[in-house]
Amino acid sequence: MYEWVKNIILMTAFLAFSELLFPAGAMAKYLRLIFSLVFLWIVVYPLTMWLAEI
Amino acid sequence: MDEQDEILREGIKSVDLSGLKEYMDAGDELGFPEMSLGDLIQKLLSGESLLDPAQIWSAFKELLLGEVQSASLLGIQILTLCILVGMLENLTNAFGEKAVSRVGSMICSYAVVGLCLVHFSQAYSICGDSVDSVSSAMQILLPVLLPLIIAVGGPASGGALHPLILTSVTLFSTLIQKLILPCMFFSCVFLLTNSLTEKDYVKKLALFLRSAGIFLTGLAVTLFSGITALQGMVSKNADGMLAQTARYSIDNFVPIVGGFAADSLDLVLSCVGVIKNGVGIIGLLLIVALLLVPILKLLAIAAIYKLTAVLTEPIGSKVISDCMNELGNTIVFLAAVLFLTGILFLIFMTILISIGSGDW
Repeated sequence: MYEWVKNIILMTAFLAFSELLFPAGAMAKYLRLIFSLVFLWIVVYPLTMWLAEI
Repeated sequence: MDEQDEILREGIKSVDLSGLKEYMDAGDELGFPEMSLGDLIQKLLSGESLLDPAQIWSAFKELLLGEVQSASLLGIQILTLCILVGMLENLTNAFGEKAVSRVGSMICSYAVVGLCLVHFSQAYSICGDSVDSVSSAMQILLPVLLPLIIAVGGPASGGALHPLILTSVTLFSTLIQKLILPCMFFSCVFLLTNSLTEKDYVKKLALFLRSAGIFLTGLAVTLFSGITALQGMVSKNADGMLAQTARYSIDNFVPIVGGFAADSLDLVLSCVGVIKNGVGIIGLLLIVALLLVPILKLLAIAAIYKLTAVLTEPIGSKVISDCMNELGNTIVFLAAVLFLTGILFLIFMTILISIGSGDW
């Protein structure tokens, strides 16, 4: 549980910095989508592991 | 009357409340008078008021103002940082170096988040320590109450309720420490980290964890108090039958002195009942003192967070203002968890006091 929370916090901090470095223009929204998908995977991953154990 | 005083004196001597000594000071902050079990029973018998409302009200005001004062330092620190962030953002247009000022704003936001996290950890440990101390006080009080409940003519209630209440207290305390408080903590951490990004990534997750924590607390309180109240009602009828049977047997089967013996039994049971109620009232006052002080502290901290959110909204970043507001809400929920804990333990004590009240 603590590992999961730590990963979410680190990813959020990384996203906060990355948003500053995003290039202006059309690419920004695609980069945001990719980072969001990675973030979603980090949030959902422990649940998939738990379901796989069951 | 001399006989009654003698029985009461002997009974009070046999009750050992030394285990609660370290918790007895909790009432000083609320203006509760220092009194022993003997003093309390004397006041109960003479009909005197146990507490002085004026003293309690002035102690309550002093405590609340003191907590608001100590928590306001946090508010001033955050307000100063928010003013700095606001000035940085407004200077962006003048200097045109948007990226640099954004980095500067982000670092100030990190400082605000770090400050909030430190103070939230203090509020979190207040909550955890309070639940711990009130659970320990209950676990010390219950073995003192059990012999008194059995002696007053409640063997069925004492036998059934003691393990039930002890298990409920332990389970509830474990649930709070291992599941509900961590949910609140993670909710707070997610709200703080979410405030660092422009887009909301974990805000709904944080709010979900917070709601889940308060829902679980309410559910646990309802279940435990309901089961204990039902068990208490059932056992009470059995105890009534036992007491009546004992009185009838002594009165009718003991020759010559049966009547006197039955009346003496009534006197002894009444005296033990008074002692039991005295111990129960001490327990009630102890629970109120152990939980009311931390609740007031948490509410003072929450009020400061909310006030800071109100003051930073016009001058600082909207994100920080929303973050402060949500933190204030989370601390109010922590206070609600403590309040529900107090309600549960007060229900337990009330059930125990009501056993053997002579209404069978």
